[in-house]
Amino acid sequence: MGMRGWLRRRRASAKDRFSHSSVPVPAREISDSLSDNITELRTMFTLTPDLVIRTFESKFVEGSVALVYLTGLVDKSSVNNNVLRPLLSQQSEGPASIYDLLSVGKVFNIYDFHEVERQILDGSSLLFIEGRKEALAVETHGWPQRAIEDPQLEASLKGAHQGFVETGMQNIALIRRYLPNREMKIKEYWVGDRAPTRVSLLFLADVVHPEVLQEFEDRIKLIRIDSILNTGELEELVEDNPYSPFPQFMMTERPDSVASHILQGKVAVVVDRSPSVLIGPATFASFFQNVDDYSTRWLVATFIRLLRFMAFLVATFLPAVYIAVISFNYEVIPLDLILSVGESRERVPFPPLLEAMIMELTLEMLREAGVRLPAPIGQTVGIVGGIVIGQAVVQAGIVSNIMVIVVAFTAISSFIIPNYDMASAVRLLRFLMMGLAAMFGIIGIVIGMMGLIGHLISLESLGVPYGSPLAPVRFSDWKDLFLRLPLWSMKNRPASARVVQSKRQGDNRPRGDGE
Amino acid sequence: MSKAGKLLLISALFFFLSGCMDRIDLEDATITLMAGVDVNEKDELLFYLSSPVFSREAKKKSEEFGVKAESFRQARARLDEMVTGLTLSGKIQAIVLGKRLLEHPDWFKILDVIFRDARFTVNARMVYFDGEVGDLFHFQPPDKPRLSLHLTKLIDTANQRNLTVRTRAQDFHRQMFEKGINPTITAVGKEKAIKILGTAVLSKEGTYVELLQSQETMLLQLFLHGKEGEVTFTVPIPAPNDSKKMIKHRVSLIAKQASKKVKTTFRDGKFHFEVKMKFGGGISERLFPFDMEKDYKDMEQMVNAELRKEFEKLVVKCQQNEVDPFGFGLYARAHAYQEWKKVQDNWPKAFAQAEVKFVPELSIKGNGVIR
Amino acid sequence: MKKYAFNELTVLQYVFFIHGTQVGIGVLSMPRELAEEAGTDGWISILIGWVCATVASLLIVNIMKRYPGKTIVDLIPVFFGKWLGMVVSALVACYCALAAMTVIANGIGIVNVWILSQTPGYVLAILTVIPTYMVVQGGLRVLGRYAELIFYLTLWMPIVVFSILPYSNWLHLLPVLKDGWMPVFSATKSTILSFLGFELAFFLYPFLQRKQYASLGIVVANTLSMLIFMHITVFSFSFFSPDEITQYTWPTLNLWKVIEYRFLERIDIIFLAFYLFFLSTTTLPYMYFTVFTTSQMVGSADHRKHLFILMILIVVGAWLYTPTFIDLKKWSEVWSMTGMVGGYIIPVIWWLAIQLFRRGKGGQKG
Repeated sequence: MGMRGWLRRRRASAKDRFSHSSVPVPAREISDSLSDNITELRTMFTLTPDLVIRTFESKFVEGSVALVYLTGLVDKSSVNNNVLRPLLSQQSEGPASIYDLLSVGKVFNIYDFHEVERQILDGSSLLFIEGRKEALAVETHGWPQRAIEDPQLEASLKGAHQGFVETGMQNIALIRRYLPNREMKIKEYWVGDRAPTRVSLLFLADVVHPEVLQEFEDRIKLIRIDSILNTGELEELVEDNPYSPFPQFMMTERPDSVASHILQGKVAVVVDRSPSVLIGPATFASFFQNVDDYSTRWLVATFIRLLRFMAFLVATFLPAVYIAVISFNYEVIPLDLILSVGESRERVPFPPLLEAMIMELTLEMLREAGVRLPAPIGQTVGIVGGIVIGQAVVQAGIVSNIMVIVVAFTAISSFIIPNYDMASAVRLLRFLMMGLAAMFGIIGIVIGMMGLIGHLISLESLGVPYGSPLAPVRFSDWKDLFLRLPLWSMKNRPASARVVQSKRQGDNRPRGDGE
Repeated sequence: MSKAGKLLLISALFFFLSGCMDRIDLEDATITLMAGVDVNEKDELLFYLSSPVFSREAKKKSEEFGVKAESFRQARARLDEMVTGLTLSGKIQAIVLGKRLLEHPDWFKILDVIFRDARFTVNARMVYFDGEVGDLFHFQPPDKPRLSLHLTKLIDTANQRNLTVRTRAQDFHRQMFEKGINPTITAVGKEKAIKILGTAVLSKEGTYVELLQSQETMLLQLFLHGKEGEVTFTVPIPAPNDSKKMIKHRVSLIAKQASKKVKTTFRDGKFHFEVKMKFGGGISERLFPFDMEKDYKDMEQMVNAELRKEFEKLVVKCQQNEVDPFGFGLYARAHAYQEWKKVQDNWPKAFAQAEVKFVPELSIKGNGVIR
Repeated sequence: MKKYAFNELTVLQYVFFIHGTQVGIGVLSMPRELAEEAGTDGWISILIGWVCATVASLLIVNIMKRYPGKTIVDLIPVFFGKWLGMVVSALVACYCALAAMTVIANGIGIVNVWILSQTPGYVLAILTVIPTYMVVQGGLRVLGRYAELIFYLTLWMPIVVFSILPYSNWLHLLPVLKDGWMPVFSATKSTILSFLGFELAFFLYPFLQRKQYASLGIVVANTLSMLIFMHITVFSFSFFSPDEITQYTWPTLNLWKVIEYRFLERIDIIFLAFYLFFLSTTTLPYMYFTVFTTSQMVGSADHRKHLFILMILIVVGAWLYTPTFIDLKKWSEVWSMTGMVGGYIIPVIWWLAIQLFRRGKGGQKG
């Protein structure tokens, strides 16, 4: 709690600082002289070679018209065919107004240069007309963008194969395809003073808890910053505890997973220009769920869930336990194992902690090297890691066999955790636990565990307990925690998200032919 | 102070204060797997230990040392002067007690450290060695694994077949303190190889009293634990001029289940115990012709009679030596508490007077796959 | 009225909170203490102790029902006035601090004997203080969650005790009531003190969400603790011979020492390490209520500053002075005596006073 108050204070002071430096200047109105307007535009956009100002005469208005846009941000065919051509080819001075000529969906008037600037930078084409104190903004966005592809980080076997792209509107469209419901509302904010980014909050108005939504909105509104380039930056500015290793919001690039979270009563934030969507409030357990869980049979999905939680434990504690056991509490290992460990440790010149550190760091380096490299070179990293380091290091007697097994097992386990951010948190915790184990053995590990639990249960995401449904315990949510019971048994939305309307489905239990 | 500052301070404290005081890496340790205690001719205590050697350069796979000392801890200090690493006692598998040691009453006090030091294991098997412990520790059979492991395995498997008891230090502690039972430990001897001799029964002071052979151990185990592991006994069936034949009338039974009921009463100034034991058994071997289908009842009777004879012989043997390895004292306490209270400090004497009746009730469940 | 609305406890949290406070350091030595007094009949004393504790805790709940929305710390100034109230509040804080210190010191002592024999006590104190701070700074709400979670996380421990079944001998427990009722009653004194922890209901009541379950909840908490005590005691009695059990300082730990699995040996070490969780559910509440009381005394709502000072004091204290095992015993005795007063005598007197007052009032009316 204290953390949030502290954050607020910090944000408030940031706000003061910014508002002093950039006092809002009252925007200049558009004048009725076209040449004045063009001069104004030219002074506004100096050194902007991609700004196009095309002046032409049209029959249906007296005087000239200026079409202004940024090449590259507009769809050229739309500008040429739907704006320019009708205006130029108009021969008769008919009664038709200019609106009837523009064959573009969204056309609206703007009156000041502040808005002009924003619309131009957003990819609209503007029409200035001699003698009118307004400009027409024609929506002709058409910036370069990527085609929709399979999500990279969260591949799915059976789920949809559409991932988010860098255009906010398109992302919203992708989500809407899953949720064609008028209760899905969108609130828009512009974040960033220099390069504003459109940030849209998506939620189900009749399901989401108003306090949670309010909290989220307040935090976004309080941000004063030059610019945010991607969702990760936004996340860091709104999270509850900046010192925690755990991700307090979910970030996903899958529209179906966003839809499923919105249906659970959570709030999704689409940040324009960023291919991942922020979801909050998040709970610890939600990082162990995956869309595929719901498209495989529930017994299989349950097994995989359990595997993931086991992997979490292994990835966090296994190297620590190994260190503790061979340098403090060797009594707990069975005799036969202790003999074989002893034999393999005999040649190793380093203490267990250092041995483990060497291997763990090597592994982390290999992983990091593999991430940035293109696929063909990436394979080389695998070969270097697997054969050269794994084999040679043991033969050279730097690391014991058992340590290599421990490290490999840990690595595999950390790959099983479906969420990248959570997996990274686990990597950090692992080193902490190893340090504690090297100093105090099993007692150190238990103390570390205690601290971890203490941290997890006091952590909150948007004021919702992060540990829920484990602490505070909400048994009704356990149907979708360690186990994934059949969908028809989850009649209500999870209580952990504090929903207002909780009924999710009726009685859908299949009963076969009997009834 | 800011939160980060606090964290920094705390972690700094950590790194300055902690010196990894309790850390002993496995490669710096000498893990004792077997410890031995004996007394030499001059009544001086001798301590032995055996621990594995991991080094690839070493020819032998384990090291054995013996020292003269007054206590275990003193011995450890002496041994640390000789062995490669620091001696650790958390994994001792067997504690071997020499024959001469067990002639001295109250030797049990030497083992104090095992129970006082929490890091000591209490799962070490207690072993009586019929001879000098030094001989055992320096015995290096080339066809066997490390001696300590070999001995441990030997005891465990022999115990599975109920040829000897498996008394761990914790059990031994209980048997020493419990007034109503006499301690029993594995007895081991050495000829060409190490050999299980049976079960040694000790007096309440810890001195060696008698040895139970394997068949007797089996009966004892059957009484103490019911059917645990494999219980097979071979019973002689009375037949005319049996002793002259090479193939004698013998039948072997394998017990399938066993349950016992002990009825305790106190009459005429002594305790009476009636042990009713129900067996279900299968015949695993029969060296004489017999019509099982018709006369299986007779067979049951014959075996019952033999079992009874053997058990009562065992009880008489114990009573003569004034020991109670069966723990009849527990039954006396549970069912005749007032009388028990009078004799509790001298139970083995009272047991010697007691009357024990054994009533086996065998029912033959199987006959094997031939008729 | 709604002073504590932010820190509400659910019924289950309330149950596990009290249960966690009750099961602490006592379980480790309880079988021996009972055997010393009452032999193998000690388990009957647990039942009697349970009845006493339940009655006392029901009295407390009944008393607190009369003062809705108020903790004991709010009530003290009302009854004693400002200055005397200060003194009494300080006594309450001292009691809680003493309880927390005793458990911590004992815990450190045991860890020092059992696992980390060379590590100095103050290092272990630092080690315990860090997670303690992390949990207690979150306030009662987080403590409630902690108690609940730890209960589920440690459920495996009583179950593992069943692995000693093959080694246990139920003959040890016979005959029942071998020396009559007297030893059983004399052992009851130590059992009723093991149930200490329910007196926290004096603090907890106003935080409870659904007050109608206050009585039921505290009975369930006492019963859970009774079951744990019973479980451990009966298993210890069946495992150790009655003549032998008094030899051990902490028979419960020795009980675990013999459990061996193919993949894991010496469960006692793991058990003891995890037992720190049990100890933490005892120390953290007392620690919290210590700083809760002191910060209420000085009238500040934020308990974290006091908590931080307390933590520093613990570390410095542990650094300057390592209690001997005789000291630890004395501390426990002092705690027991004050607990006897706070948990049993005060509720009874208070309740009687309320009854008399009520009757007097009724008499006047009639």
